[in-house]
Parts: sequence; C-alpha cells; structure tokens
Amino acid sequence: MLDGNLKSWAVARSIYQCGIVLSFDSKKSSLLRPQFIKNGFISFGQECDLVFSEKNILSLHKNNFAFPEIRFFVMRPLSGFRKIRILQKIGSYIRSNNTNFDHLLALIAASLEATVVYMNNHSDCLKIMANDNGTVAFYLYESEIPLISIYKENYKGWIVQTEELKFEPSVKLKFKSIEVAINSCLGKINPLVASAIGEYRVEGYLPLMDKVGYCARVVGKELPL
Amino acid sequence: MTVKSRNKSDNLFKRAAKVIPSGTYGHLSPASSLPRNFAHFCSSGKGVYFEDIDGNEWIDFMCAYGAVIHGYKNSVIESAVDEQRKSGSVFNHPHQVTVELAERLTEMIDFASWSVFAKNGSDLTTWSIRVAREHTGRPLIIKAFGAYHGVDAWCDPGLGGRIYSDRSDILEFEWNDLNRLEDLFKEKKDQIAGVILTPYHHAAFAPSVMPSPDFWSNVRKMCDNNGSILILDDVRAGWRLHEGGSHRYFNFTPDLSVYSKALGNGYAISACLGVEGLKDAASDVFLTGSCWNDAIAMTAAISSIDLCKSNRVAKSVLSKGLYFCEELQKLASEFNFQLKMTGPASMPYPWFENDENLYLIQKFCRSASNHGLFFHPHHNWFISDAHNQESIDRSLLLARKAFEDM
Repeated sequence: MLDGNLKSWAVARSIYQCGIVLSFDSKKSSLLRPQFIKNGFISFGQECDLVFSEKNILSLHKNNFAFPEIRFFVMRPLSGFRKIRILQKIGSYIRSNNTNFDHLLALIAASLEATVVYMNNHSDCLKIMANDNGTVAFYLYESEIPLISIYKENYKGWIVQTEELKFEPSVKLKFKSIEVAINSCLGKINPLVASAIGEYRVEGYLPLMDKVGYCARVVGKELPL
Repeated sequence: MTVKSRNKSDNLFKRAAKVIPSGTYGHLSPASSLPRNFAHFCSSGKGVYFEDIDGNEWIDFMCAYGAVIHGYKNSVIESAVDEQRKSGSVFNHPHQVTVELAERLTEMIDFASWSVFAKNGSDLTTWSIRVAREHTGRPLIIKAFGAYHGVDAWCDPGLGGRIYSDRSDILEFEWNDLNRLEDLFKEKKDQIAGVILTPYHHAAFAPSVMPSPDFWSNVRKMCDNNGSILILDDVRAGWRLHEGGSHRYFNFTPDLSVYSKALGNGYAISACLGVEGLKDAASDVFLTGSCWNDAIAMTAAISSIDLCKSNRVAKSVLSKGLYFCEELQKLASEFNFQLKMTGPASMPYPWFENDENLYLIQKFCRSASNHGLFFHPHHNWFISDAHNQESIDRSLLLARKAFEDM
C-alpha cells in the first residue's frame, strides 16, 4: 500500500472498528467493513452503496463530514442512508466531550485500528515492527479484563482484538482513569511522563509497548483526532 | 527497611516535565524501569548506599548504571579531585594530567600505544568507527543485533529522528553467529571497515550472553583476513572483568578499545585506545569537545585506574559478585523460582526461567524496592568494590523478604 492510500485506509478501518466496539456493526454482518474499489475509492461494506473518494474519507476524518460518491449512493439510497446515520453516530462518539466509557471505547478502538494499519503498512512503522510479535493489552487500572488489545497474527499482521484474552499478553498498559485514557488517545499525554507520575502503569515487555507507542504517535501526527 | 515517601520525587518530576522533555530522558527515564517504585531523583550517595530526595536510603546494585566502580564518593578519588579543583578544570591548553592519563592507560592496556579522551562512550564509539573507515578507506561497519554502542544515529536504541542513511552502512549479525559474520565479510568483500563489539553481549531486556569459546579468536581472524579493524566497546565492562581491559579476560586483542563508565568513577570521561598502526588515521579524524580536556575528570580517572590496579578491583568485584549471584540464586530456588544470574558475576543480568515478558523480574524488583534494594528489572546490575560482605549479606536478607512478599 502506498503511504498516500494509507491515511484514508486507516481512517476507514478506524470507523469500521469503532462501529464494532460500539455495537453499531459486527464482524459477522460487516456492514461497514471497508474495501478498496477501483480508482482509489473506498466502499463501506460490500454493497458499494456508501463509497467515498480517498480525499473525501480524509475530509470525513477532518471535518466529520464528506459527500459520498452519488453515483453509487443512488443505486441503493436506503441502505446508503442507513450507513450514513451510523457514521454520524460514530462521529459523535469520537468527537464527544464526555469523559465516559463509550467515548473512550470509540477513541481507543479508532486509535488502535489506525495504529495497526500503520504498523502493517507504513514504511517506517513496518521497519520498526519488523521482528516483533506478541500481544499488547490495554486496561483501566483495576480491571483484569482488557478494554482492547492488539496482537500479531501470522500472515495477517497486527490485528485489533476486542474479545477477552485467554492468555497473558506480552505487555499491559493500565490507565489510571477514563480521563487519562481519553487524553492518551487524543495525544495529550506524554507517555513517559504519564508512566513516571502513575497515570499509566506499563508491565511486561516494555520494548514492544515503546514501538507500538511510537507508531501510534506517527499516526497521531498524520491523522490527529 | 521500607520506602516511606515519594512526594518530593514526584513533585520534582512534575517540575522537570515542564522544562525537560519527558521529565528525564534516556536510560534514566523512570518509564524504563519501575517508575512508581524507584525514586525519580537522588540526593547523595556514599559507598554502596544512596539516598533519594525523599530521604529514603537504598542499597545500590546499579552503580550509576556502571559509572561508579569504587562506590559513591570514594575518599581517595575525591581527595585527588579536590586537589585538582584548586587549580581548575578546563583551560586554553590541555593540562599535564592529559598526558599522565594517556601514559597510565597505554601502560595498562597491553596492545595500545596511544589514547584520546572525550566525555562519554558514544563520543568515542562513533569516533572509533570513523578511524576504522579512515584507515581502511571502506564504508561498512558490522555490529551485533541489539548491542548498545551509544546515542548516535548509527546505533541508538531509540526510534525517533532517524533517516535511512543513518544506518545504511551498518550491518548486523546475531551475537555468537560466526557463520553469519563470515557471510557478511564474503557478501561485502573489501567493504568492511571494522567490527565493533562489546566483550560479551549485554543487551537490555534480555539475559546476557557470553562469547562462545571460539568466538573472539574467530572474529579476530576474520578481521585480519579481511583487513578490517576490530573495535572493542568496553565502555560498560571495562575494569569489571580485568584490570588490563576486558579483552584480557576473553584472551584476544582488539585494534581499538573504548572505555568510559568505571574509568572516571562518576566523573565524565571516556577514552579510546589504539594500536600503533592506527595512530595516523586517528590523527586525521577530527576530535574535540568544549570541556573534553577536563583536568578534574582526568584526575579522577588516574585515581580510579590506580585504585583498580592496586586493589585488584576486577578480581574483587568478580569474586563478590559470584558470592552474591550464587546466594541469590539459592534464595530464589528456596522459594521455587528458577533465577539465573547471567553474564559475568561483576555485572550480572537476572533472568527468571520462562519469564520472556519480564513480569516475574518486574514483580521481584518491585518487591525488593519495598525493602530498599535497587534491583533493576531490565538492565544488568553492577557490583562495585564498595560492596562488602556486610552490605551483600544485608542485601540477601532483604532479598529474602522480597521473595517472601511475592
């Protein structure tokens, strides 16, 4: 994948992952699962009822609004409209000012999905992650059940996992509070400082966390939330 | 002994974070160790003990990450430094201690006929590869995967601020993989300027690996056969394995070797020593720094290496380390933990069996910190000559409590 396509693909995948964790979509129905169609357009779902140019996907990310490709939309306007409503809901969760669990879930899913897209495709991130594998899990402080995790699967690369882990991850990042976790997703927290003052607690194989964190910051610079 | 307070440490760190990127950077960054168990700032040290700014006393097993070998505030070194301080530190011309230190070092390091000085290991590991390039007229340098040689772009362990060309002339092989090393020499025939290696493999976050019995003789042979320079990065291990340099411990001869850490016992100084045949190349590779002709640090270095020689410090720290490592391993097994102290006993890296993700060592070091032991979970530890039977036994007693708490 070219770095130019990468941003729009990362945004589309983030939206899809958000839909999953917020239960607007499921991996089974894959209503919003993005796919590249010809000439650099990205469709949400297989039906090609909601299609955006790559430029407009980025506009969707930046402005929370973008025009879909009308010629596709008019072929299935009802299902296309239904998806637009879901996109709007997802957008409202991501842009929310509330410090609540759903906002966090939307942000962390979006951030991590974009991060794994970069870890799997971005030239610098690929080099950084080349020899690494394992599982990185994210927790709210006291919980033993991760909010979300990422792991590397053979041949598929890094994947976001929302199901409960059945094994100990390679590294755990535990946020002190929902507010800290949200600020972290928004790139408002220096991870080294947060760790030092106890807003994070990182346990396990730290070098993997460092690399994932660095890739997340690359994404944050290119696709700020 | 229990760590009671960390208020001052936390408050100072918050101040630091406002004016220093990440509050503290590099290997001293709290995030790279146990940030909520270790203090963020020290206030003083004496021998094997140091005090953090909250007044908690710690028994030290990191020795300023190796920069201290005779213990904090060693009286012999501090007296010499105090005396030199009366005359000054940095001048328009080198002080005579520069020559005295070079003479001392070239006497101690058997293969070397010259020495240059800087402030940190990185200054001279980077300079040394340039000397190898200047001498051979070749571009490529070989190093071991995961080996630490400093903070410069060709070798630093960080991720940021790097461009492709920073490492395009650096090749890597797995430590002890002589076949791969040989392949690199074949693949890049007449292009290898030098091989830079530490005396044994002391990577962070991983057990230390000693050289296989035929490792060094083969590396030396390959360098000779290919006209490449063998550079020993003895920054961390220097004076901890052998008074005459770590190559003596492993019985080989490098062309260049770089020292720092123990050299100044806490005063910033590094040295690169080389064979006669590289003296001309060394003259042609520019080297300087604002305060590199620091007579105080050089005085400390003379004192430190004299002590190393007179007190046979390398033998002493290896012997004390052996006792400590064996006893700690025994202690661990009493509590059904399989702990192996890897690497040389004077700078052991603790490794629990089946603990690849480091949870167990982190738990142990957290527990030990509650009893005032400064055991690092991700870096090799250091035994200093200030450790003695009393402080080691006391530490073992506290380590027992740490295991009990686990």
